[in-house]
Amino acid sequence: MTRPGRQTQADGLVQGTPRASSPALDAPRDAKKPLEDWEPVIGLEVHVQLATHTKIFSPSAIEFGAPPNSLTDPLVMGLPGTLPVFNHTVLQLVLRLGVATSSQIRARSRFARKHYFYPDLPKGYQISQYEEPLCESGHLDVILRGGLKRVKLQRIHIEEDAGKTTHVGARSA
Amino acid sequence: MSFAFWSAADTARRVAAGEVTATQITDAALTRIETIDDQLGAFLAVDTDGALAAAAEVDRRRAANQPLGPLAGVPIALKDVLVTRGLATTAGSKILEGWIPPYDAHVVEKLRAADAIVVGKVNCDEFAMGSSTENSAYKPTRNPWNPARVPGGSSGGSSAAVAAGLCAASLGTDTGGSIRQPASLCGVVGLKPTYGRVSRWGVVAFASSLDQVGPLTRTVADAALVLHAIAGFDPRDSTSLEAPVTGLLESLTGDVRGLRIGLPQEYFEAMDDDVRAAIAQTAAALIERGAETVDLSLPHTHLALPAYYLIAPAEASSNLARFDGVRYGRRVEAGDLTEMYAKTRGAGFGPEVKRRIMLGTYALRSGYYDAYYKKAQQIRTLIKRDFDRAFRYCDVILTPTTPTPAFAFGAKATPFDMYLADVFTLSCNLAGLPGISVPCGLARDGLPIGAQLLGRPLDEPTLLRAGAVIEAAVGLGDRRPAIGGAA
Repeated sequence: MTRPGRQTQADGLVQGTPRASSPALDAPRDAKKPLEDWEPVIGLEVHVQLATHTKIFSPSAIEFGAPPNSLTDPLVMGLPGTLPVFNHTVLQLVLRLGVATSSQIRARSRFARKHYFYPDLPKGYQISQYEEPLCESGHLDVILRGGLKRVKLQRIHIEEDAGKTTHVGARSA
Repeated sequence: MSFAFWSAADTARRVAAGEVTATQITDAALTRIETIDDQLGAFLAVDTDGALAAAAEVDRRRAANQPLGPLAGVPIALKDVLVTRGLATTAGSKILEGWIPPYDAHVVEKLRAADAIVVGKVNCDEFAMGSSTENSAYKPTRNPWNPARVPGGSSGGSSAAVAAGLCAASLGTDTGGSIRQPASLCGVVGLKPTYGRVSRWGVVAFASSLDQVGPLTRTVADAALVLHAIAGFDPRDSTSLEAPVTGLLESLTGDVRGLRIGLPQEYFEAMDDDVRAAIAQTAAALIERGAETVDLSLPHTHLALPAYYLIAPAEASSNLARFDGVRYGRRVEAGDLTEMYAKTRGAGFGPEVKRRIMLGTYALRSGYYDAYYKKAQQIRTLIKRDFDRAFRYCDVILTPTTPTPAFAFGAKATPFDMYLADVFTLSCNLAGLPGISVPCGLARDGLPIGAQLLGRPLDEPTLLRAGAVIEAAVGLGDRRPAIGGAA
């Protein structure tokens, strides 16, 4: 990072804020002591796989290590004409997390399609949340060096994970 | 004996009574398709083996005195956007050429459970985008009343096949008029159910918030019979309504006394003189049988076309993202993945589909959502409110289905001219309402004219009741089209 300054959340996960007492921004700095000039504010994007028995939008089972193509159906394959049906257990688990982290929980929340072309993305989009995520503004208190540290949670949203598809020649798995 | 113009209801009744076998009916339908469809171009695939096997099973159960379904032995064709297990499904597009689906659409399961005989898949505009079936990537379909005219679209194969007596009924899909408009142009009945009345599981998606499956038939009673067979809750479609399916088969009382028919002034501005006269005659016939007419206004009607052509392409651009050549359908090989996507979609989609993908992608571009899609959705709410208000003063709304009878191939010079063919049918989808088109006479040049009825949500029974009275009073009776009609 050559030009310090506050970035928007959308630009990346790391936000840097110069300390009030920091020297002029263009002055040469000691690369070995960056933390004296900077307050690191680090955001994390954490993915949690929920312990459901079936997939988030299809009734097919989930089982780690199962043989390829053994837990599929027309929806999972992204076949034309298929429609997603939301797994309510997912909602219950995420609501539990939202309550546990003192989040604000929306009575009306929305899914959105995130579009990009990629071989692991059978529908051409991922079902995720963008505007109106289910949980916002929660926090998690942790004990750090004997003191209480509050980790703020911007949002908890729900999305599908495309998993993995393998394409070898004309065969897909 | 020719079964070609037997109604679905008659066919099922006679099969159940043992007057005729399902195999005889099916054989006759397959023979007619073989001999007549060359002139028509309605069918993309004929499932001879599947149809004969299904018919044999119906006959076996009849012989064993087992109960038969309400569509026993009735030959039915399916618009090729409906997914059929083991039977090629193309959506009228080259990008799906060669795809053999491993599953049946919900409506296909329901038809099979009712003992209907699926005879094949019929032509349509590519991904149901069009109003003349000229956008099919495979072939043109001709209007049975005049082969120089289009059958309408996008369910043009569905309407032509039923009009020419190649099957007793067909299924179409209606996103902005694609059942009612071709039904009107081919002189058959076309019913677009309330959004959510029929499951969309297994319908190749065009615009998910507008698409609905419905029947095309030669009689209003058959539309009720087929809708009854395919409607109802399906947990695989989150927009499927849990409301019970009632009143459809009992709706045809012939009694419209006291029924309030709304005539919205916005739908009577620009149209062909013959169409205007036919709708006036239809209204007069309803009044003569005890209905009342109410003049009313649906003031946001002029916004339906621009709102529709934002919402439908936006949703289509997303729904068609999955056609990338990776898993099914056509693939154009290339040096790298990105190039393969581009070449596959470049070669696989036709010009109208590409136009709508571009329009829709532009409208949904980051930062443009509020200006376009959201604004169009707000217009949609205004249109819905217009109808809510109108239905305080009337029970059903009567309009022409289309401004003109069937037009000639190539007659619509620009895409926008073609879009105007749907100007009377779009609002119904934007508001999620049920609508039906019923033949109400022939124009001076011998082409059919359709009357459209729009109803309250889930009030298909009233549409069918009024539709049957129109059919009896001003319908086509025994008049048959040039192609297939002589049989």
